[in-house]
Amino acid sequence: MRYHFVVNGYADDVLRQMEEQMGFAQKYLNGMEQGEAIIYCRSVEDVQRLERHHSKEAVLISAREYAPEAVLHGLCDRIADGGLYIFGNDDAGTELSVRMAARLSGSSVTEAENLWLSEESAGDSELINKIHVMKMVYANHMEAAFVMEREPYCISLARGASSQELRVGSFVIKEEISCENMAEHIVSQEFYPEALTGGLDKAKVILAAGRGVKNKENMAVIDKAARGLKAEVAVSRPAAMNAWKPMNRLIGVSGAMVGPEVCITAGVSGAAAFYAGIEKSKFIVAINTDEKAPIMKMADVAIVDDFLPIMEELNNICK
Amino acid sequence: MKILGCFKVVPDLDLIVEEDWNIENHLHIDTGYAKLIWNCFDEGALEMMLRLSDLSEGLNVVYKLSALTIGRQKTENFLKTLYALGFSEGARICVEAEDEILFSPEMISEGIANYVKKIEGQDVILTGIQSSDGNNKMTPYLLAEKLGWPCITQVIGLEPIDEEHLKVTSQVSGGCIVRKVKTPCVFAIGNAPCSYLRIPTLKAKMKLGKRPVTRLVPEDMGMSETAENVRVTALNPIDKKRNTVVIEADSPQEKARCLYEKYLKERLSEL
Repeated sequence: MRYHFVVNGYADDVLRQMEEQMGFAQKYLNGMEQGEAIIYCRSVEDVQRLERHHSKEAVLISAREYAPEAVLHGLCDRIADGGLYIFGNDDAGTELSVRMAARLSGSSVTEAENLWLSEESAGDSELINKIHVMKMVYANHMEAAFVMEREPYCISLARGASSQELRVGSFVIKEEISCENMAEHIVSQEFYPEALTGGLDKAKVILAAGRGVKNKENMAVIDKAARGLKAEVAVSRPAAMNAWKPMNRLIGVSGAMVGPEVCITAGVSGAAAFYAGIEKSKFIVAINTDEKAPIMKMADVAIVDDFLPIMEELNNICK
Repeated sequence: MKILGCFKVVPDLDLIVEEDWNIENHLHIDTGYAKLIWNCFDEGALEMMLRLSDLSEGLNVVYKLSALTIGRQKTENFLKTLYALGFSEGARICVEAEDEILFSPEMISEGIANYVKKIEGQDVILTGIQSSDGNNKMTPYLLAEKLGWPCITQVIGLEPIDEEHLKVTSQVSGGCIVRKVKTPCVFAIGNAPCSYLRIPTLKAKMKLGKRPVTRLVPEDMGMSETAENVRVTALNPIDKKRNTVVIEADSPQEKARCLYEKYLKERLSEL
């Protein structure tokens, strides 16, 4: 069986996604033959500009604007046989992997953490390979193993996977499939760059607030302490849903996945979906009035107390 | 314009006791005792539908809002809340065993697609991008494929335009895209900024919340013969514990000083 990387050439973080694909292959696909990569992108020039590659050859599916319907058209036209297709860990990768498998009567798993092969008997002493994939379920409380039943096997990767340095040099482009004007449902569209978030993903110190912060006024105390500690402020889902901070400050499986040197949580219960976003932190401090809150066992240091006087005192010390 | 909101009612996983996560050799966890809540992304989708309806006042567009869920009888209370908030149709595909639908996005999307094809045609379908228990992250995409409709993912806002078009804001890498979209379309709702569902008034609950829910059986919705292409074979608990040190002191100020001096000062100075 061959495996192919499917690459989102539109993404700003395309190199990071490719590094993670390569890291995944090195860890779990040893001995499996690698086929050409499939890159969906604006143009050949975009791909050449990467100056890095993880497959010798590539087929391009190009259109000026990204539209999943256009990419799917190109993908499904191109893929004649089975095999394993590994998509990146962004929303486009997730959507395309599921829809491609559906169109080609294959099987798909999103946010795969791990993969292995097994041999099973198919009768008449014939052995067939089965693909097994591990992923997080129950909001990151458990991990589940799945067996994929039908080729092509389409998986998208979980975020935060280990990465592997890419090879220097460009892809050899075998073919370019142009897929312009295939998203008839889009009448017009405009891109608005997001206001700067301070880059939670690059922050060295993060101060994360949860439901226990109780209101927007108390968030001001968090903001003040964060300035003193030179920390970026982040929030858990309940705090974001209360609009105490914008959604781009959300940490967790559906928000930012961070790995700062220090992460201080205040009023955070430690729901598994939130903790997944901070578990790569080198040092975690939990401040909560409930000593039985799950976060209190998942932190390096815990304080059982109200966060307000702690934050005020930290701010005084940092002055 | 007819809009269907598909939602899942899920157990509040924060209430599951630790021992229940540590059961091995089972293919699902007993969450039956936990309080039921809206799946957070679906809740955002339903509130988005109500906001769209609010925004249409004064415009020459009428939105007919319907809701569909697949699950136990207990979920009908959630449909009645939606009636009280102004939804005109509420339906449940009756599945009493939660484990039957937990890792079954093929079956779920088949049920929704057949509801739209056989029971009540729609122009737009909203679903949350994923549920908190199954984490499959597949239903809206499979649904789009089964209906042959386009799909827009990570939608965070909807605004009215006319009977055939909507203004759709979705999150993408580095910002957001605002599109004028022609229906029909499936929208997968992501991190919408205002995602709590509003609370109906008591008067609305009394007046509208008692209407019967349409009940459908999975067999009629083509769900029984739908095979999953992926099968769960094992569930394993995850140990996330660290060797936590609890700071003890007489006052919060002392605890803060201890935290800073002993654990933060050096770490922060090295950055």
